Order: sequence, then structure tokens, then C-alpha cells
Amino acid sequence: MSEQLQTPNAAQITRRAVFGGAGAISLAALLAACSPGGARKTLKAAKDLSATEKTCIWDNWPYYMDGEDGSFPTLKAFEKKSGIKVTYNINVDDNNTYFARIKNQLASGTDTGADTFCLTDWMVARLIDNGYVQELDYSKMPNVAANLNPAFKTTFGAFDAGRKHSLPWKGIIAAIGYHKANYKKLTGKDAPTSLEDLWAPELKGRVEVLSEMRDTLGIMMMAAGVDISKFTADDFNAALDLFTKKVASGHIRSIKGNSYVDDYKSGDAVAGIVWAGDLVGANLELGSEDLGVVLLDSGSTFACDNYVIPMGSAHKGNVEEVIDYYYTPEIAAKLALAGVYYVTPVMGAREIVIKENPALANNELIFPTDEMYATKLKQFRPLTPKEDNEFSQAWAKASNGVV
Amino acid sequence: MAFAAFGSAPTTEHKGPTKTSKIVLALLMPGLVYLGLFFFTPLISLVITSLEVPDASGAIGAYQYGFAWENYVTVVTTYMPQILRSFMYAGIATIIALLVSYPLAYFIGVKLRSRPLVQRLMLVLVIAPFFISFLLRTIAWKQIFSDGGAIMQTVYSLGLMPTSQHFLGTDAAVIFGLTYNFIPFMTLPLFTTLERFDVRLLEAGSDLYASPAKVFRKITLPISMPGIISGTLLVFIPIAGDYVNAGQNFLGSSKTSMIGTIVDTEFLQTQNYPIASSLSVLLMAVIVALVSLYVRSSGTEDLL
Repeated sequence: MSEQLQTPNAAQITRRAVFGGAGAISLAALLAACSPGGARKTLKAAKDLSATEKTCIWDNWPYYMDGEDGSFPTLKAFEKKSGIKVTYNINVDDNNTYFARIKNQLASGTDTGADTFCLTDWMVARLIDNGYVQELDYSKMPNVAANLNPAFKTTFGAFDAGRKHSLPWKGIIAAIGYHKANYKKLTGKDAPTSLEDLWAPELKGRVEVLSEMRDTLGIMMMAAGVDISKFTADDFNAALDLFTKKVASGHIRSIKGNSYVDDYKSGDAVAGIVWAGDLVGANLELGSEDLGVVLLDSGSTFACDNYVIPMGSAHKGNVEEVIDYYYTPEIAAKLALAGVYYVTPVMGAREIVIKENPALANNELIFPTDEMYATKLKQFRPLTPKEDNEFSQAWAKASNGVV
Repeated sequence: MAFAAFGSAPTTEHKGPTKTSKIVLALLMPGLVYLGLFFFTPLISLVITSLEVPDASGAIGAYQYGFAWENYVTVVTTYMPQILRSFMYAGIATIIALLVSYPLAYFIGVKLRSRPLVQRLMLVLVIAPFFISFLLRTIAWKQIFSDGGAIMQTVYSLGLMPTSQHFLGTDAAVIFGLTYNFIPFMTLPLFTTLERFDVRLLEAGSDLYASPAKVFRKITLPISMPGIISGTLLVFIPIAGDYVNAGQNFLGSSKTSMIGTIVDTEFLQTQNYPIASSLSVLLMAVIVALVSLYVRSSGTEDLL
């Protein structure tokens, strides 16, 4: 929420436009910058200045890096080793909001203010389809070639054939979360075992779901027996209808994408659809077992936030060095041990973690087994641009209680 | 006053220097350029955007120039409940803010005159909440009113409310938040009017056998009218467009969406710029209409 109140990246008006055309042209440029849309053209990647400019700017989501108070131990170690100065900004808190802020620069192939950023599969698919991002050079990233879990390349990388334009940073499992004591108190049961359990009348007004349409409706569709890798509009609408009903009746209290973990602590939420890493992290942070996460038998949605390099970035080489660094198993393990409880795509990390913290390494929500990747975790199928638009609008209306 | 624009500006008899000096023009330029660049340009852009149509691809955020005035019809028919709710919230919150602020401002501005130090301290207390970001303060209220918090636990244990219900996410919670966040904007203008209020008029009123109630109605209230008008406007207008308090991350729920919430979603999430823009233009138009009607009917143009 606070993100939306921050100043968006200033529209990039080139120096020539300002000095060359003075008032009239810059006014026109300003107007053009304000108005969305415009003709699509094939973009060319900016010239890579990595050899001379040893910097790169990386925008990412919160809770994704060790030492987020600013110490950033792994990043600092990288800077020391490589001589590349990395500016790490924690300023992504929503795919749509982030995209809306930089869409004009993406479309024109100019500098977006970041050399790389990590966004979710479906948004990355949109960026790739539009030709907004640069192709990666695997020859510069030996660790990626060696350690990228194949499941992330094939099953969960289908939107980017061969992972030519994007690489996963972290994977996120959506699942059913609940507050153990409060759930027991209200329902008399130990843990929810099905989606149906969330709709128990005793939980009315204390169920919260994710504002990420693909996770919430994905889990609801899976519970209805739908294969989300190939669902139809009817399947989607059936799930949306159920969601709308539960919102209208007040059973679903709110639809959130951040700060919802606090609601479990404060008692506002007792059960709902959550990102597993958030609750696991909250437990480990507090040293308690208050919160529980359940993977339903019907399966869970799995999505990644992926690095991409926008066309306007002039530091592709530097970014590739950063990516390669984070694909070394030791560094991936360090992140997990330091409290980044999302799924790593780096093979070999678990084997290192298990020596120091077996409980963490054996937590299947942080280190899923190959069998889970193969059977339980599913990726929401890519939507056509038109579907994407229609579904998102319908979802937004339902979330805001517009009928 | 800032709202002079709403009344017909009284033409002064005294005509200024007939020769407009170049210096005056030069001094005016920065202001005019600023207004042109940062008010008129965005406004025109907003109106143009509000008339756009989806392009052939039908993709998210893909719109092209058109003249789709139907956008306004769509907005009104789809979002009527949210539009009405916004003005209802704004109206109720403004009235509550006035009822709370008036005695407070009267107390500080009139009763505390003999003690300037206490008066200043009280004023600081009114403004003090501004020193903390209002987002944080609103989140704090969310914590205070949470189901597991002390207040709600007391309410539940006293049986005042069934445990299946809650305060957060209701109309009352959002109106509470709006009122709380905007009360200083009501108190300060009221204070500035009442501060200069000549109390001898009250004595004169009672000397003429008017009851205290009549004195208030005939003397105090009319004299404080400028403060009431500017206070209500300063509170009503921003509340009608507020999107924080009613948001689901704060005090609201999907049942409390206001115009601001919808604009926020349409602009940033679904990138439906035409709908977001027409909703914004509509909000602006309705506010201008309501405010000019209000100023006119209260017969206070000359007070502004």
C-alpha cells in the first residue's frame, strides 16, 4: 500500500527533447508520457556498458534478501568479490503497480530506473511477449547452467521456452494457512483438510485470501477438481462465482497481498489462503508454532518471481554476474539460513542447509521434493492478453465488492 | 481565502494601475506556467483518457483515442453504490468532525484566552498527530480494533457483540477513521474564526434578554460561519476522494469500497485508464457542483 504513495519513477524524457524543443516539445512529451498505449515497435537492447560502468540497480520484493535492514551480507560479499556496485531497492510490492509505473519506459525501450527486477511468471510472460526484455547469455552464467533445477526450466518455465529471457529468483507456494489455537477454538478441529473447511460457518468473517488472482482462484479451481494448467473460462467463472458469494456474505473478510500475516497474529484472520513462506517465516521468527500451513490433496499453485533485464538497461553483463552469484549453492543456502523462506531454484542448496539446520532443510514448504514438483504444485496456465484483461477486471470488481 | 474561486469575486471599486508593467507579468509567469503544466495539462490528459476505447487486442492497459462518452454511463451504472457510499461517508464524517471540533475550537479559542500558554499547548495537541504519518496512525487504529485486541475482547466478553461479528471492515470503522484523520482540518479554521470572536457581543445579547441558546444561534454561529464553511470544505472534499481508510489493508473491507478505492484498482491493477479517468472526472464534477451549491445556499459567498 505504501508503495502506491511513493513517487513513481519520473517519466524519462531525454535531455535532447528538453533542450532541443524547449517548451512545446517537452509539453508534447509530457502529454505523451501521461497517455497510455501507443504503437508497438521492435525494441533494441541498450548497448552494454558493463565493462566500464561497474554498477547495477536491482528492484525486488520485500523479505527476499538477507539483512534487509541494509546490511545485505551476501550482496556486500558479491560487491567485494566482483567490484560491481549493486543498488538493491525493495520497491516491488505488486506486479501490476510496478508495471504501471514503468510501462512507458518499457514500451519505448528506455531506462526504467532498474537494470533488473524480479516479477511473477505471468507478468514476465507479458514482458517477454511484448519484447520488453533482453535475452540472457548463459555462457556468462556457468552456475545457472549447472544448478538450475530442471523443473523450473520445463514445468514452471513453460512461458519462456528454454528460459532464454528470464531466470527464477524464488518460488512461492500458495496454500491453506491457519492459526492453530484459534482454529481449534472456533471449529473444534485441529487443522483444515479441504477448501470446504474454510467455508465452515464458525469461520465467518475470519477467512482471508490472497489478492493474487492466480493463487486464490487457482487453489479454488484445483479444489473443484480442475486442472489449472488447462482450465476453461467456465471453470474460472465457477470459481469466481464462489469467491463473489463468499465475499458478499462477509465470509471472506478481506483480500490482501501484504501484511496479512499480522491479521493472523491479531486474531482478525483465523484461516485462509496464504503464501507458505510467509507463515513458515513468521513461525521461525517468533520461535513458535502458532501458525500452520496445509498443502491440500487437490494441490497448490506454484509461481516464481523471475529476474528479467529490460531493454533499456545498459548493464546486462553486470546483472548476469549477480544472477550467477546467487545461483551458487552456498549463497542460496545462506539466504535460506538467514530467513528467506521461499523456494530456491538452486540445486545443491538443501544439501548445505541440512548440515546446519536439518529442520529447515526438511521443511517441504521451503525445499519441496521432486515428487511435489511433479504432482502437487501446479502453475496457473498462461492467459491470452484478452483473457488476462477480462479475468483481471472481473477479479478486481469482485474483490472490491462491485456486483 | 482559498475558496474565493467558488464565490463571485467582488469587484473592487479601486482600479489598479492601468498600465500593466512588464515586471508584474514576469512575476506572474512562473505561477501561470506552473498552473499550465501541472494543472491544465494533466486535466486535459485526464479528460482525453476518460474517452478512450479498448484497442483491437483487448489486452490489459491497451486503449486508444476515441470519443466513448459511454464510459461515463458505464461508470455511473457500475459504480453507483460506491459513488453514493463515498458521499455518504464524507457527509457523515464531516458532520461528526464539526460536532466534535466546534466545542473544542470554542474552548481553545474563547475559554482559554486568559491563559495563552495553555491555549498554545492545546493547539499543539490538535496538530501533534500530524507529526506521525497518517498511514501509521491508521494502521495503529487497525491494531487497536482488531478482533484479538483489548477493545474487541472486552466487547465480546461483555456480550455487546456476538463473536461472529467485528468492528473493522464495517461502515462505522471507516467513518471513524475518516473523521479521526480529518478532524484537525476542521478544528483549525474554526479556531482562527473563534479566536477573534468578541465576547462582549455575548454580554450584549444576554443584556437584551436573549437565552443562551438564542445568543448562540443569533450571534456565535453566524460569526463563526466562515470557519464552519472552510472547515467543512477542507474535510468533505478530501474525504470524498480518500482511498486509504476504506482500503482492505486499513480499516475497510470489500463492503466499504469508495470512489478512491475503485480508481486505485482500475488505474494501478487492471490498468483500465478510461474507467479510472472518467470516475475521477465525475468525482471532480460532483464535488465542484456540491460545493458551489453549498456555498451558495448557505449565503456566505461574501464571507469567503
